[in-house]
Amino acid sequence: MKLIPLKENPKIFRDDKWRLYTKNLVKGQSVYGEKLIEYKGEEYREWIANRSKLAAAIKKKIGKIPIEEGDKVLYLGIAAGTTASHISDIIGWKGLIYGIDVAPRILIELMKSIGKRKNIIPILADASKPDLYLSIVPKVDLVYQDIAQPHQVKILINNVDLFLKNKGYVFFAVKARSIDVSKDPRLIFDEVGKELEEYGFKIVNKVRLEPYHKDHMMFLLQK
Amino acid sequence: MKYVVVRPRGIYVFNERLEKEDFIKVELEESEIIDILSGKLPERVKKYIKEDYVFLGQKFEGYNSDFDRDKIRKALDIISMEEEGIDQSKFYIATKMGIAKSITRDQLIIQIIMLLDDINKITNLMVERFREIYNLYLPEVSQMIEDHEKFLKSVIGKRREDLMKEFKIDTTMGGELKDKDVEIINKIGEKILDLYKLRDTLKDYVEELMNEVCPNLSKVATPTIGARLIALAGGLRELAILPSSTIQVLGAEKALFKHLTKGTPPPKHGVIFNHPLIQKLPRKQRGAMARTLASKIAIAAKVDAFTPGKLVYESLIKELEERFNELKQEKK
Ligand SMILES: C[S@@+](CC[C@H](N)C(=O)[O-])C[C@H]1O[C@@H](n2cnc3c(N)ncnc32)[C@H](O)[C@@H]1O
Repeated sequence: MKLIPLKENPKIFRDDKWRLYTKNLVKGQSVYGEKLIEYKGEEYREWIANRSKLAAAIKKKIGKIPIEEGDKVLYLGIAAGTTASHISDIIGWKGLIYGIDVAPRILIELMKSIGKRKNIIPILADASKPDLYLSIVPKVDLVYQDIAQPHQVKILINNVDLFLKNKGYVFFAVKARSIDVSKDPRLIFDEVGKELEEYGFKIVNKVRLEPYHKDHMMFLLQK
Repeated sequence: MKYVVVRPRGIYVFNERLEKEDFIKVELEESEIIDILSGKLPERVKKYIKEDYVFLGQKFEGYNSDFDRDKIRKALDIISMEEEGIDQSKFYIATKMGIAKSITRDQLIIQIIMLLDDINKITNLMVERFREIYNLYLPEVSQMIEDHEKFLKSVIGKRREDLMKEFKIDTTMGGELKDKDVEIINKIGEKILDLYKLRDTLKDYVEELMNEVCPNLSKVATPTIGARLIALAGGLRELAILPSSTIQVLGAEKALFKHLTKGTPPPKHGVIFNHPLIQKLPRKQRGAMARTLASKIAIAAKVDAFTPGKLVYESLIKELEERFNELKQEKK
């Protein structure tokens, strides 16, 4: 087997079957049961598209993946850290993820699973109240939001307003059902897209996440 | 006038052009970081805040704030640069302490009511198996007593001959029993009875917890239904912010989803359906009663969650009973 760095982001790798990998920042530690493999003396963790919406978006060719070594990231809805752990691999020890989640129970999972990954800072807070964590979070290069809430666009805007650097990027995962169960997902995604543009986001790209995640869309935005 | 921002290492002070003027070093303890995250200004910080200071983007009771986006961004640019590379380990402890603080007694209620459901499922399975075993030796009794617990209590520890006399059975279709068989059968039965006892203890315990944590909800909804509603919502506060139309159908999510996607009739009630005031009404009146009940439950939950200690259940129950009587009359 051979691992090939993606041309969109050389810190993300694929094998010949197009399974994705990142170089493991904490050797020997698997975060959510993903496979660890050795390649040319380095350890890599498989990045499973069924578990992570970002991995799915990469496989569905979202194109640009603007995450770099040393980046500061504000992650809204970090949950147990499945996706965040791979971002943590990419940004390395010089980078930092501020991981917000409202659910204490899931944060307990996160604290257990991130183990030695000290580039993730878990924060118990509600993403719709950014004024409360304004005391901790600095300006960031990237905002990642996946919170499955009806008012997720407003929440995103309020956070980006305060924390995203000029020209910074946003990954925004939208689950149609959490906005309206009875509407056609395509209509919902169109409306969300319009709202985002009205606010002044540039939609760099957007991809549906089927078959990995049903009725989901990943938006890549730039401010 | 000066602008200020509190951060874990101290207070940043800016002038009106948002140039940094001062940094007052106050290394916050973990518990003080939690205070700030929940909107409380620690005492040690308060003493540095002068009359004409305005917090940028942060809101603390009794102090002035300015939420102008561009000002906040400008200040945060400067702060971010100064904080480059500072030690973050403090936040781990703060988050751990925050989690510990957030665990409330309604979470215990949720776990116990779910355990009760588990026990019901497990005992049902076990009794059914127990009956199968017993049928090998004395099938007649099992048919006579439908209630599981009563059945267990009637047969455990008794010899077959005595049971046959007791239940007036001349000839049994059951097979032969050895002493060892009887011994094992009794042991199994006793363990299941123990589980029934545990179930009863937990039922009382849920009632106690409900009366302690949310007396209004407990009285209006009944302790068990109240506990189930809390579990379905994910917590007391979570329940308290739901509209009463949602409370009315909590526990009937599948039917609701089908209604929204397939256009079937909407569900009239979820777990509140088991409430005695609904059960005692004829089918036709139940939907109307469910609506009233849900609205009273919504009020009760709000009081319990946001003004703990206040008791309003008496008037709520009175209103419920009035509505109940009205609906009962309508029938005639
Ligand atoms: C679908 S999960 C995120 C999964 C995660 N992004 C991953 O790929 O590993 C959604 C998370 O958002 C959190 N959440 C929901 N509402 C929130 C809010 N208002 N503020 C912060 N987190 C929220 C939930 O607790 C949950 O953990």
